[in-house]
Amino acid sequence: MRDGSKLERFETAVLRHLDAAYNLARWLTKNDATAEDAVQDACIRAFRFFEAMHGPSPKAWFMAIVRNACMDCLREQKRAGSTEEFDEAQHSLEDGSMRAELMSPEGRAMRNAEARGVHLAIACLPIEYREVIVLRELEEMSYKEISAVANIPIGTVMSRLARGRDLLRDKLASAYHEATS
Amino acid sequence: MSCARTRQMLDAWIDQELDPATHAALVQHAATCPACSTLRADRESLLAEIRTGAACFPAPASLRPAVMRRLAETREARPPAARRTGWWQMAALAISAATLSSLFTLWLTRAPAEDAPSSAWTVNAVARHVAILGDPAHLIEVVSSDRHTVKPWFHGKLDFAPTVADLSGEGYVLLGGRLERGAQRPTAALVYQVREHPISLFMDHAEFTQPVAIKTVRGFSVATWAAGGVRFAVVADTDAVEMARFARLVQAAR
Repeated sequence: MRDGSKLERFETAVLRHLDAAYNLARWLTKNDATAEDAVQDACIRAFRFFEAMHGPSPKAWFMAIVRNACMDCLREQKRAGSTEEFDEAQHSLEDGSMRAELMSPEGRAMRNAEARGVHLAIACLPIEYREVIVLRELEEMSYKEISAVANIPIGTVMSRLARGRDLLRDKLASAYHEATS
Repeated sequence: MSCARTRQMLDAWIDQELDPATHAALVQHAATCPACSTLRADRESLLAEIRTGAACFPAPASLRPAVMRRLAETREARPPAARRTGWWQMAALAISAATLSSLFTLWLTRAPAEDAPSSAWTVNAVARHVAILGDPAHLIEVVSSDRHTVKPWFHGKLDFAPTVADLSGEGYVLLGGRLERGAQRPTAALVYQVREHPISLFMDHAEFTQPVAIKTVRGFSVATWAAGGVRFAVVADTDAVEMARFARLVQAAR
């Protein structure tokens, strides 16, 4: 296979999902520069192993690589002692982190309070719930695709989505009560 | 269909991820159960709120040109041959028919038995086993039958604790270990020998559990399972009974 045509095929099958890739990376890393780095690394890896592409769909295959590149970046940051949080699983949905997100540039840029509430509630989810919520609600992927991206069984996709949505519901309800009381 | 079961499957139902029979049973149940019907309506309005409220981050305009530039550099620097074994297989999912639980309806309709990502880990393990057989002198990086030598050798090289069991009392001699670095996440490999049969045990970090499954791949017996944050694959040219015995011993040693 000549390289030129491989690149063309790669652009058609994989790079068309660049926006989705960046969206996932940005939600996972919560940082513009880190997200860009992770997506670039993922593209290089994906191109190298393009012939071995497999799984439920090209998008799921590519997103799995993007997701792993993000986890690598976060792990590296943690190892380097950066203040970026690595795994928010230990962090509860506390109001402190919520307010910090509110102060961030994209927080201020949100058009209305309701949308901001949803956005922040997702941003504050522990990473394992955040990723399935983003893949399902924003990228509209099937459970099978999500299981391939997040490297978890389909049953776990189902339970994490249910739990993640419960967390969002509770968070949005308490934000609503705060706003109205 | 009970209310408890309906609630358990509420999200998969709304997401249209159930088989038609289960889907129909839920519809029928909700038609006669106001509580479950309300739950579904509440969930749907939550999802509508999430979908309208959550914003996608658009890729910056500089991203695509940057990617294309790096791809061009990579293609010049790297011969296309370097793509045979890969970390991507580690990125693959391991679904098998193993985790049947209360979610079995979902499984039956959504997970075919020959799920390709599951076999990637298996196929990769066989390829690595064959490579080790081909050149044990070079590929076994820490040569020792002493687990107290082999286990510390992995320290700092892996993001999980590998099982390094002393099974010499059972007839399995530890030959040594190696680190598979081609993977995005390094994989630990141990090589044992029973009578004249070398046995490779591969371990990698995993966030799921899976009971032991034994199959034959290219003439090798392969056992795979996942437990305690580690995914295992054992490859040898022994029979399934011998393989099951070895898998049990490794499981017991953990």
